[in-house]
Amino acid sequence: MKSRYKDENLLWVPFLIGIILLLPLGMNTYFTYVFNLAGIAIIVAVGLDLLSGFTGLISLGHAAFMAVGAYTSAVLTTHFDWPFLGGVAAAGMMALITGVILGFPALRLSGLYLAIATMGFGVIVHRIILELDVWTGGSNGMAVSPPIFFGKRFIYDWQHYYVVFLMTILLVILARRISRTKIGRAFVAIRDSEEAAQASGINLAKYKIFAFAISAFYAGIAGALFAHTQRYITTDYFSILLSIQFLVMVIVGGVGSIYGAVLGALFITFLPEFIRVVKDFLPSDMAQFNDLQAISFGLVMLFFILFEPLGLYHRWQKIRIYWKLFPFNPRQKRFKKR
Amino acid sequence: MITEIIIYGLSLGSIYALVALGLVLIFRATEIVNFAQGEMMMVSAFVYFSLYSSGMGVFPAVVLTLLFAVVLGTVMNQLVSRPLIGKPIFASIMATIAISILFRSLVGIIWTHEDLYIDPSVSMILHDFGWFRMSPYQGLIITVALAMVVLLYLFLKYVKLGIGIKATAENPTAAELVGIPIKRVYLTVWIIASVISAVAGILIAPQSGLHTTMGTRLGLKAMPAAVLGGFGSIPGAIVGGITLGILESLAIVYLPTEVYDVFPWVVLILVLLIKPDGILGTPEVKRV
Repeated sequence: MKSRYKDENLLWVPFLIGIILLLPLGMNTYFTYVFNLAGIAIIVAVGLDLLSGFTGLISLGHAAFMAVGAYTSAVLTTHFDWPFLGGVAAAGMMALITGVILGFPALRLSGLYLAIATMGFGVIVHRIILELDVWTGGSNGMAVSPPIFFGKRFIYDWQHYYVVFLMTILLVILARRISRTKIGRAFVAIRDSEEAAQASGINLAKYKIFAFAISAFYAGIAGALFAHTQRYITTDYFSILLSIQFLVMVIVGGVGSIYGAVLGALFITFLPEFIRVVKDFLPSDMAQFNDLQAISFGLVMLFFILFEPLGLYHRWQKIRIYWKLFPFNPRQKRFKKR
Repeated sequence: MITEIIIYGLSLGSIYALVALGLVLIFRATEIVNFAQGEMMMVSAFVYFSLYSSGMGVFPAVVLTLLFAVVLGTVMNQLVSRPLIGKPIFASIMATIAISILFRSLVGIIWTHEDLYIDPSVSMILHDFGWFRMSPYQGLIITVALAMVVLLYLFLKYVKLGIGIKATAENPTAAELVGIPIKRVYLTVWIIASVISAVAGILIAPQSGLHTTMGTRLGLKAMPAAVLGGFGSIPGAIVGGITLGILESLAIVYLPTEVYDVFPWVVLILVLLIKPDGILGTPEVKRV
C-alpha cells in the first residue's frame, strides 16, 4: 500500500530545519527577537489555518485564545511555582478547554455570525482577564519569569530562539500530519460542503469542536511562549487587531495550506521591519511609524483579498509549474486591442 | 430616575439604530457586511469638527459634511463594493476591516489620535417636563433619528429607486431582468448608508468626544444591534438598536461599572445561542 506521504518530496525538510537551527549564529539580537515573534506568529497562524483554512470556520477571536494561554502560564509559574514546561502545557490545555467552550455555541453559527460571535468572545475574555486582577495585575499587566530548564534561566534572545523554534517545528509538523489524517480530511469536507460531509458520515459537531480545540491549543502554546520570552504581558496586546492580523497571515500565505500559513506569518511579521527601512526616505512629518505600519498593513490586506485571494503559496506553486514546463509553456491568451 | 435612564438609552439607541440601519441596508442590497460602517461615521464626525471649528455656522457645516458623506459613499461603492459583489462573505468581512484600519490611521495622520471635544450647540442640561426630565440635546438626537427613519421608510415605499432597492435585495438577477438599474441601486445604498452614519456621527460627537477609536467603540456595537433585531431586517435594525441602547443604559446604572462595556457582546452571544434570527428576522433557508 502506498504511504500517505509517498508523493511528497520531504528531502529538503532536514536541510530547512538545519538552516533554522544555524540561523541565530549570524544574526544580531534585534533580528533574533523579531524571528522569535515570527515563530510565535507561525504557531498561531498554522493553528488558525486548521480552523479557518481547512474547516472554513472564521475566527476573529484568536488573540483571546493566545491571551488565555499567556496568562495561564504566567499565573501558574508566578503564583503557584509551576515549572516552565508545565506552564506551557497547562496553557495549551486551558486554551483547548476554552476552545471547546466556544466551539459549542459556534456549532450553530457560520460565516458572518461566527465572525461577530468570536469577536464578542474576544472582548469578553479581555474583560475577564482584567477582572481577575488579583492574579493578572489587571490593566497594569504582569511580569513573567523567563523560560527555566533544569534550574538554568534562559534570558538571552538566542536562547529563546531555540525554545520557540523547536516548538514551532514540532507544531508545524504536527499540523501537517493532522491535515493528512482522517481528521484533516473531515475538516476539508466540512469546509467544501457541510451537507455533503454529513451525508458521507462525518459527525459535524464532533469535528467542528475538534477544529476549535486544536486551533485554540496552538494559540495557547504560542501565548505561553510569548509571555515567557517577552517577560511582560498586558491585555492591550491581545486586541481584536491582533486577531485580524493572524487571519491576514493565513490569507496572505494561502488559505488551506500549512506552508502557506508559515509564509504568511513570516511576511506579516517582517512587514514593519521593511517599513522601518522605507520610512527613512519619506518626509519626516508623514513618517509617523504606527500609522504608516497600519496603512501598509491595511493595503497589503486589501490587495491580497481583491487580487490574490489564494495567497503567496498559490503564487509559488504557479511559478514552480511555469519553470517545470519552461520552454514549452502553454501560451497565455492575449487579446489585442484594435 | 428610571424614565431618565430610558430616555438616555433611547438617545444612545437611536445612534446604534442609525449605524445598524446603514449596515443592514448595504447587507440587504449587496450582501457585503460593512465592518467599516463605524469608521465612516468617525471620518464624517472629524470632517464636521474641522468645518465647525473653522468658524462657519452649524447649518453650513452640517450640509457640507453630508455632501462629504455622499462623496465618501460613492468612493466606497466604486473602490470597495464593486470588486466584492458576488465574492464570499469572508472576503467582504476582511476587505472592509482593511478599509476600517486604513480610515483610522489616515484620520490619525490628518487630524490626531488624541481626544477632541466639540461643543454641542444645543444645551445638554436636563429640563424638567413634569413626569420626566430630558435635555434638548437628547431630544434632538431622538427627533433627528426618527426623521431619518421616516424619510427612509417613505423613500423605500414610494420612490421608484427605493422600490428598486427592495427588489434588488430580494433577487438581484430578477431585478436586473425587469430593468432595474442595479448598479445605480448599489450606489444609492452606499450613499444612504454613508449619509445616515454621518448624521449619527455629528449627533453623538459632542457626547462621546472625537477619537479615532470612536468607530470601534460605538460603531462596532451596531453589529450586536443588528443581530439582536435580526440581521438583514431593516425594521429589525431600528428595534435592535434602540433595545440595545436601553439595555446598555440600564446596565450602566444597575450592573457593576466594569460589566457594561462588554454588555452588548454578552447580549449578542446570548441572542445567537437562543434565537439566532433575532427579534424580527426570518429564519434563513439553506438550499443544498
